[in-house]
This record gives sequence, structure tokens and C-alpha cells, in this order.
Amino acid sequence: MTEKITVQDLGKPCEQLIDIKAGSLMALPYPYDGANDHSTIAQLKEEQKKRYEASLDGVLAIGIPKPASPAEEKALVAKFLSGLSKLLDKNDNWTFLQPLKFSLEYCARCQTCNEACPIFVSSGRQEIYRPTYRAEVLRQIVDKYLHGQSKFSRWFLGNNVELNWTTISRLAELSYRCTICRRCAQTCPVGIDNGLITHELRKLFSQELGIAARELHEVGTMQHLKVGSSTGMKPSAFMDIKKFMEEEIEEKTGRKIEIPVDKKGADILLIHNAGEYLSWPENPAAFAIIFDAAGLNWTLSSELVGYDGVNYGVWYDDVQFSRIAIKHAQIAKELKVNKIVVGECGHAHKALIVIADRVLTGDLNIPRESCMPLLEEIVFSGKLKLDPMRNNFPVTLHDPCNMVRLMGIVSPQRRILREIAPQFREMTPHGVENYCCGGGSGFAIMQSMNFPSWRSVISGRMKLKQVVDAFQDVISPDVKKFVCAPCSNCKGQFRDLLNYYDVGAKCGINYTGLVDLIVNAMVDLKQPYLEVD
Amino acid sequence: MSTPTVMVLQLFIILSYLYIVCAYSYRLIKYVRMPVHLRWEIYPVPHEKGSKYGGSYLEELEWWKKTRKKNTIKDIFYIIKDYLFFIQYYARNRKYWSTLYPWHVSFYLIVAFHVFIAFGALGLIFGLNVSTAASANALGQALYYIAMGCGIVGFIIGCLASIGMLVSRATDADLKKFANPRLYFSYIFYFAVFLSGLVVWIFYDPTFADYREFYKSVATLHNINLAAPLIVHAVLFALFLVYMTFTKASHYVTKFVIFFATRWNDIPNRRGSKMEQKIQERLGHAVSWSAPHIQTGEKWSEVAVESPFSNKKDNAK
Repeated sequence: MTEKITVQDLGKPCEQLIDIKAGSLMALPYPYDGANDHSTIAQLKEEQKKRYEASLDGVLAIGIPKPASPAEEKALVAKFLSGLSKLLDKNDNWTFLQPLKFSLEYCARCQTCNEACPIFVSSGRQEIYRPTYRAEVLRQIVDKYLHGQSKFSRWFLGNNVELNWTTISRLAELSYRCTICRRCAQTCPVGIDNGLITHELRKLFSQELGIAARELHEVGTMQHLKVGSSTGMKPSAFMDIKKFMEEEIEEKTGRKIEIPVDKKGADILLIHNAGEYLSWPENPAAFAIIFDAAGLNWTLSSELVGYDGVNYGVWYDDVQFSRIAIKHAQIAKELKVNKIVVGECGHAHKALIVIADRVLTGDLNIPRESCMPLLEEIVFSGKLKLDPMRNNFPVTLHDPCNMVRLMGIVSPQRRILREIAPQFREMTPHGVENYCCGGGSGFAIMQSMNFPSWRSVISGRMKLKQVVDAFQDVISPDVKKFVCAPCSNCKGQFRDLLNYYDVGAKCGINYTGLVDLIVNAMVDLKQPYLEVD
Repeated sequence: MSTPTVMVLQLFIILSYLYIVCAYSYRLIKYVRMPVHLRWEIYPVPHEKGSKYGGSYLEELEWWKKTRKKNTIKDIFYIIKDYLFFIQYYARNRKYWSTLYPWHVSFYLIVAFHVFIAFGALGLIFGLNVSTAASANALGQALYYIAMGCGIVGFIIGCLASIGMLVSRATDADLKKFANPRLYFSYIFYFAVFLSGLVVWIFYDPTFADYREFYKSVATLHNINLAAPLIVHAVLFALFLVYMTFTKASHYVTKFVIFFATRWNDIPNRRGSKMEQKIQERLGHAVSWSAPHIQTGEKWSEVAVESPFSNKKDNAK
């Protein structure tokens, strides 16, 4: 069935366009090879199938409720078209118009990008997951329904997609089958960016139809702007966690550190992904230990939005993105800091340092940088006494796409690891050609229905392969080893991925952040910072 | 003066060339004049110091305090190398490259052939002897040989590669899925263009002297007697250039813009800069997106600081 699927099939109603069979997936290395691979995507419940549009691949990321009537369907189709016009308008979509139009107009259909896509390859090359598939659907809709082509033109240009509710609802789901890692764009010889097309599709659905993944919008950016954090953490809870971290630091290191909060005139405003405070508080605590030891003048913020560096808008909505980026800058301005430093969170890096660069103007344009060069400076300054032998276990490095391929921050984290981890080894490929963890573009936080199992089985599969391959020489679970993932969302994905495949028990592989490894190497710590065993 | 038939042909050639210049200029201007967009670069970026491994200036501590070292020559060198050798295709899709590359080389050669024929024609007008004769000087001989070499090699490779492209598009499962009638028409049409040149060379004009005379007549609008196959080739080549402007093939012009404007565009926005002015101008435009969390009709700069929970329409009620 999959082999025969064409672009126009997206608009043809059927129960389910593709059904991913376990046996068709990309093979995994030992100990997940052959019959040892038990990957299966969880089935939806009948009630979920009845209620939501699940006819794409039987997986629900956003879960669009089925329209109540043909009239409602018609209205949604009309709204999609009006949104599409806005997507191609220089005022409504100045933010990405130029690269979007180029990507729509100039694809040479060479299919070079497909093999670069970990989702397409991992899935056993499912037709609908090709980077070019959703792009071609959108291209045909633009040509056929916005440019008003004649019958001959439609035939000559092969624009056969029908615009109906089936097409649109599947396209919406399909825009959440790509992590926007932009490996395809990096590969394209012409400069086409199919990752951007995914981004723009999500944007159209959000900004015009109000359709987005719940975890990104309703309990993502909306909650972030209302409560202060996408995690739901309020300022009072943040202050409690701050106290908890100080106690933990004292207990683990014997050091009494007061973590500065809302310190006016500090040199640095450090912004973390708030998920760290809740899931991995040892990471922001490690930053505090390092910054304290290095004698930096820094602060955290307890203002609404200021203690959560995430910006989910970057994945689906330019307006929400701008609102959060501006809030971050306003808080830094109020605190009169010299610069903002972003902690270990890839998308927060790209959102605030790179993309917001053309949103923040005047006195909101406060210097912003990654924590990586700062950590590199500290490690090589001699301000910390480090003993690499404290990290004498195999370590590999995961390159967060946002930080590496999309920002060019490649070297500092490697220099640090080579200095503090004697058994450091690279994955293949790595650096700017890395593979996404599978949790990119919001996937790591999306827990809707059976989506998490799709994420572990399909979008995280290539990364699992890479990690297991990197440790093949020491794959025994008796040898404890770490994936260093200097990104909160990537860690979230690793947590789920390693858990799904029971990688800890079968291979002895765990994950951690970079600062955790740095602190673990500090000689004046009473006990190891990392729990290796 | 030309006969009416010849004059129509001459005018067609002139107008088609003028059209091509206008069409490509329009496309370029259209892209260049599009509004500034948010940063969306992908590494490696050739002009960066760390381009070998994909590094950027963001690897430097307090990068904004340092003078930016940007080597634009490396960008240009990369683009030229890619235009000449299709290095990206070679690295990522060798099988496709093996047909695509010669096909494109044949495009370069057929265009170069016509350029050198045109220069030769200009030379003739100014009294230059464009031939292999002993009386011809080095320039005349060079124009003669280069045009001939480009033409012959281009026609042969073009014929073979057009068939190759057609076959690979029709037989490769991945390519076939995304094919449309226009692509097949293009391959057949391009084949006809190259074949017509090959026929001219083999059967009618082995030194292209007549073809050069025809281009001289186009420049001077004088009458000329031409064998039909020469007319066919001249017309097909002009149509080929015109047709290209209606296809995705013009990416070889716009690609230049998109690489510099998006893929490698890592220009930081500094306070008081031209970039900042451009952004502020954009933020002054109204937004018409209509989802519930957006205040439709307000300016970008207003919407971006407005709470998603405040709806002015509701407030007004």
C-alpha cells in the first residue's frame, strides 16, 4: 500500500492511509537486532478513532475533533485557504515569506533530501514521511487553488491534489511528523527548505484556524504567558525549587551557595528551560556551582516567563514566539543585566539568540549568548579544579539540532568533553550533520494519545541506533556510560527513548547534561555529582 | 534589408533575448525586494571562521564585542564551485548527479556556444576574420575554435543527458512518483534543441560559419539565406531560453539569492543598524491572522506585546 501512495491520495478518504508494520522499520543494532526488536506503535482506542481525525497513520499528535457537519468542514476548508493566502502575504508573513516562496517555487523534485530525513528512513521509507511529500501537497494546493490554474495547467503540472477536509486534517497531523531538524534543508543542493514548509504549515493552522498541538499552545505558550512557565510552575514554586537546589548543593558538595534571583545590575541573566527545575534540578544546580566557583556576577529571574527560557512559539506560531521573546528581553532590561545567557536548552538558544534577533529592536536588543562558550572559558580558565578521571567512563555527545546545525555552536562543548571525559567518543554522524534526538519541534513534550510511542519507535529510532552504535565496543550493561545531551528537550526525549527500549538495563546507557559532567569532575566535591551506578 | 520572413525571425531572436533578460531581472528583483525575514540560517556557513566543521561566531564568548570576521569570498567560491561541479549533488546523490551534471554542463555549453557565436558575429561586423585561415588573428581563431568546441560537445552531451534524464525520471521509483507531464515535456524539448544543433553541425554547417553569419544579420538586420535546420535550431534555442523562465530551472538564478539571503544569512541585528530599521518598518504593518489568540487588525509591534488573552473585540463590547 505504502509504495503506491501518491500525493493526491492524501485527499482520498479511507480508514487509514498507512499502517506501519513493525517488520518494515529500519533495523537496529545489537542488542535490538532481528527478533530482539519489539518496537510497536500503540493502537488508538476505538473511541479515539471515532472522535478524532486519525486517518493519516493511526497516530494522533494534535487530535483534531471530527467536524460535526459538512458545513463545518466547508468552513474549515475556506479558512485554510484564507490562511494560505496570508502565508504568502508580505505583511502577514514577512517573517518567512522569502524562504517560503523560494521553497514552494523551486523544488527540482530530485528527492536528494529524503535520505537525510531520520523519520523517513527509520519508518522504513513510508511515503507520507518523505520531506518532499507534505511540501508537494502544499505546493499543489497553492498552484491549483490560489493561482487559479486552467485544466490543462493542472494536468501539465500534475497538480492533482483535491482540497477537502480529508486533505487538510491529514496535512495538519502530517505537519507533526517532522521534527524540523532541517537536515533535509542542509542537504538540498538548490536551497529548498522542507522543514520550513512544515513550520509554515503549523503556523497556518495555529494563526488562522487555531489548531495546534495542545502541549505547544494551550498548555505551552498560553500557559507560559499566563502562569509564567509552560510547566505550570508559578513564581512561588520556582522560589521553593531554588531553595531545594541550594539545600541539595550543600548536601552534595558541602558548599553553601545562595542562588541569586532578581539581582539588579548583575552581569548575566541566566535563563533555563523550566523543565530542568522539575525533572533535572541537578542541572541548574550544577550551573550555580560552576558560576559560583568561577566568581561570576549573575542572576536568575523569578518574574513570570523569566524563569522559563522555553519558547514553544518557535515551532508553530510567530506571534506567540514574539510575545515570549519580548518578555524575556523586557525582564533582562528591567534587571539591567549586561547580557542574557541561555542554559542547556537547544530551542531556547535558537529562539532567543538567533530568531528573536530580528524581533528585538532598540533597548530590547540586549546581548544574548549560549552558555557553551562561557562554560568553555570557565573550564579552560583554571578557575575550577577538575580531575577528568572522575569522569572515567564512556561518554558520547548528542548535538541538539537547534544549537549545532542551526546556530553553528559545535566546538566549545567538544573541547570541554575532551578535557573532562577521557573516554569521550563521537557518534556517527555528528556536529552539524547530527541526527535529531526525535523529540525536536515539541515532540519531546507531546504526550497526546499514542504519539509518545510513535516518537520512540519512529522519530527517535535513528538516534537510538546512533547511541547504541557509539557504544558497541562497551555495550555490556556492566559498563556504565552516558550520553551527554546539553539540551533539556533532548534529555526529555532520551528519558522516554531509553526507557521505552530499556536501554539502561540492556546496555548500561544513561543520559546527562554537560554541566553535570563538569561538576562531577570538580576535585573539591565531597562525593560524585553523577550517580554513575 | 531583410525580407519580411527573415526579419520576423531576426526580431523573434532579439525579442526573446530581451525577454529573457527582463524575466530573470524581474525574478531576481522580486526575491531581493521581499521583506527582511527572521534569521533561519543552516550551518556550515562558508564565510564563517569555523566553516570547516560548521562553526559560527556564536561560539565566541561575547561575540558582539568582537569585530566580525566574515569571508564573503568563501561564499562566492563555494557557489561558483557548486555551479561548476554540482558538489552538493555529487556528495549527496551521486547516481542522480551522474546524469544531472552532464545535462547541466550541456546547458552551459550551448549557452557558451551562442555567446561565442554572437561575439564572433560582432567580430565579423568589425572586420575580424573568424576562421582557421592563416590570415585570422589569435582572437578570430579563438572565437572560432571555442564556439565550435562548445557547440559540438554541448550538442552531443545534451542529447545523451536529456535521454538519460528522461529515462531516470521514468524508471527511478522515487523520481517517477514526483514527475509530471511538464518534466517529461522538458526533457523531450531539450533533447530536440540539442539534436537540432547536432543536425546543423553534421549535415549543414560544420564550421558554424553560416550560423555566425545569421547572428551577424540579427545584429545588422540584413537579409540572409539560411538552410531550414539552422533556422530551426536558432528558434528552438531562443524558445529554450524563454521556456526556462517558466520552469523551476530558473533556480540557477534565484538560488544565489536564497543562499545569501537565508541559508548563510547570519547578519546580527545591531542597535541603530539598517537591519533594525527594516525590522521596525515590518513591525509597523497590520496583522490579519484571525485565530482567537491574535488581535486581528493591530500592528505586529502591538500584537507582539499584547496578551493572548486580551481580545479587543470583546473589550469593545
